[in-house]
Amino acid sequence: MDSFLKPETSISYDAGLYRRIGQNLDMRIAVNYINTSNYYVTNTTSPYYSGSYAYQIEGVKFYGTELEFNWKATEKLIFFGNYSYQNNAYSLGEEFPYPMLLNLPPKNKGKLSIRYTLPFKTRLSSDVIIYGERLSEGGYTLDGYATADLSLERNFAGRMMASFYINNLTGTEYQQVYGYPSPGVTWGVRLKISTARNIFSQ
Amino acid sequence: MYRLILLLFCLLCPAAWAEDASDGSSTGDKAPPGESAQTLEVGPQGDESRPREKAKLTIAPQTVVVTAGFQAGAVALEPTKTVIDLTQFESSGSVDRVEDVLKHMSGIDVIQTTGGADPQQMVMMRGFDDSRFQVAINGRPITAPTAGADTFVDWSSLTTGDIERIEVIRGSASARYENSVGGIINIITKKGRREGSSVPRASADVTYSSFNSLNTRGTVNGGVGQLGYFISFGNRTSDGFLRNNYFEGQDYSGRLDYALPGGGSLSSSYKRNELEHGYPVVNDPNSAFSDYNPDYPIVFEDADSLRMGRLVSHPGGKSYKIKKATHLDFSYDQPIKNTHLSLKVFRDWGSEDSYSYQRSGAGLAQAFSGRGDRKEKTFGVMFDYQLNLWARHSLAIGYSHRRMGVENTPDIYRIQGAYIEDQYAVNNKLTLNMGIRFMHVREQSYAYSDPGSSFKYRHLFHPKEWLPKFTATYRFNPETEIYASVNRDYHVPGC
Repeated sequence: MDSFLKPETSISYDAGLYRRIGQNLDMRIAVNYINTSNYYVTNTTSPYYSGSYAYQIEGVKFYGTELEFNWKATEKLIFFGNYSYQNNAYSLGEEFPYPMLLNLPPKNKGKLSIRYTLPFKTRLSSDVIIYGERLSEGGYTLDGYATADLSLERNFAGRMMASFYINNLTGTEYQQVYGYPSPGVTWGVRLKISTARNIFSQ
Repeated sequence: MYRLILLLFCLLCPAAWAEDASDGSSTGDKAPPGESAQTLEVGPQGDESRPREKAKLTIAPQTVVVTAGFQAGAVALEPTKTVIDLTQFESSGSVDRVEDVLKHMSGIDVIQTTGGADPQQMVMMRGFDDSRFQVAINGRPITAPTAGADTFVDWSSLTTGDIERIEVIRGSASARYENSVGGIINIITKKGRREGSSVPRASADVTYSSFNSLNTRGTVNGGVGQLGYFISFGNRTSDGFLRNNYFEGQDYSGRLDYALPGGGSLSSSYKRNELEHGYPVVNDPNSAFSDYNPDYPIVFEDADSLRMGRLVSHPGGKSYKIKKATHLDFSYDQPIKNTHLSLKVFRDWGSEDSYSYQRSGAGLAQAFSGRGDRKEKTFGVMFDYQLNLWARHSLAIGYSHRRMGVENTPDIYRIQGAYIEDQYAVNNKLTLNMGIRFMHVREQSYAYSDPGSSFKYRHLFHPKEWLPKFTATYRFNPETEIYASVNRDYHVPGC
């Protein structure tokens, strides 16, 4: 039997600028607009709708922007950061189930990484990621949140590396998926040894 | 198994250390800033099996328009691509799987119920779920729309022990890739080190973290004559943060590269992952079915069950999945004068047995899915021929074919694609990338009903789509570049 479903196709428009400033800073900014026709929605039995189903949304428009930069501020201090905004628009008759995948990612997301080389072959790293609010499969709103991670690593003669890290330094309470709390402060220790002089080459 | 390999590593250590000390070829320094970025490939395929210098010279070098950023730390930016060097990427946390890297990238969202290895998790790119962007290993796709295990990509199987770098390519500008409206994540695996000494290099890596989580990994890397080899093995266990959210798994991977005369190579790689993962169960004081345990965090009765909307699991029964995934690849690459021939043959297979104890009427019942319904198989071939015969043109033609199915529903997909792509350097500043891909898909889906109906039937698709691609890139000077791109793409529907 032939399907009533039509092929899902997209026309995407991208534009961007790459710029290098001096020898130690470069950045990239891009915008995108994607027009998707006949977007497929398929699902199996769920708490929200009984029975497997498949249907299509005639048109979904995705649009967003991305910004990234990479900056070697000094020989010892490196930053990497980015920000992205992503959204979509569509219309759907009330007779259709909620297309859960379209709203799971946050509209806004930002990140900043810092790598700082300390004396005695030690490096301090930190990653801060900020997430905007998002929706759940059932349409609930999950609040935005930010997490900060920190680590300290020590390199021994290029052949051994030991590190200690703490994730979610501030103990932020959040849910990435509705119903499941994420852990508060967590920690870890790592030891890596290599027969190569440059442990990173392995 | 992994303990045995770790023991072998320990035995190898003294000889290898002594060799390396007298070797002198390794300076102990990381690659000079910019060096790695400057040798990145022009083409989007990102096939590491090609010699880098060759790949850089896609078009006559005086006309090629490529602005590759310097590399600060592990990340290099390009106009449409972000490249992460895994040999230098050290997050301030555990880096065990690809998603541990991707969550740091713009436009990518990693959605997890827990922080550990979870086959059910999802990655979204530019707002598209992972059935709508392409994940590739060395340029060949691994995204499996059969979704025989409720997943298009088993992210838990993509461990980083054998990965050299990850390319995050935005948009669907390449005619070489199918089903990439959200973009492409191309994983480049490590090759054996043939230069210098024949004594292998080895490494061992141990991480212990919260919730009694332990990750161990060992690698061996070396070469004998024209043959290079790389072997990686890892093990991970955790009690998990949530109730019943433990996991235990192993991965094994290996790659052989044999250098042929004239710069060609024969390669073979194998990657296998096995994981037992406990579903987090309901732990809700307001639920009559959760047998609430205050020692664990609360998990709601109406919690999401990410991805396919299945019912959440409850304590009292079996609630876990056993997931296995294997990738096997053979490739042949050969430069022939000003052309380059590439041929790939690959197989993927995997399985999932899933047990959940879930609501059924007024009570709870044990549910199971697996065996033949959840055993996926993929077979594919890819051919690519790049011709650099003209001063301002680099022309690529290619063909790919994949067949996919599950054991109880074979031959669900036949996906064929043929393409031609020309990179035309109009002058020293302007480059046009023009391509077209023809896709012919034959799909016979699993049985679905229409909304509001209980009658299920399989959908038969056989679309033929022409997918034109166009990108114009203008470089004002070596530091500034702009681009604009218009592309059409087709989404291979998930089952």
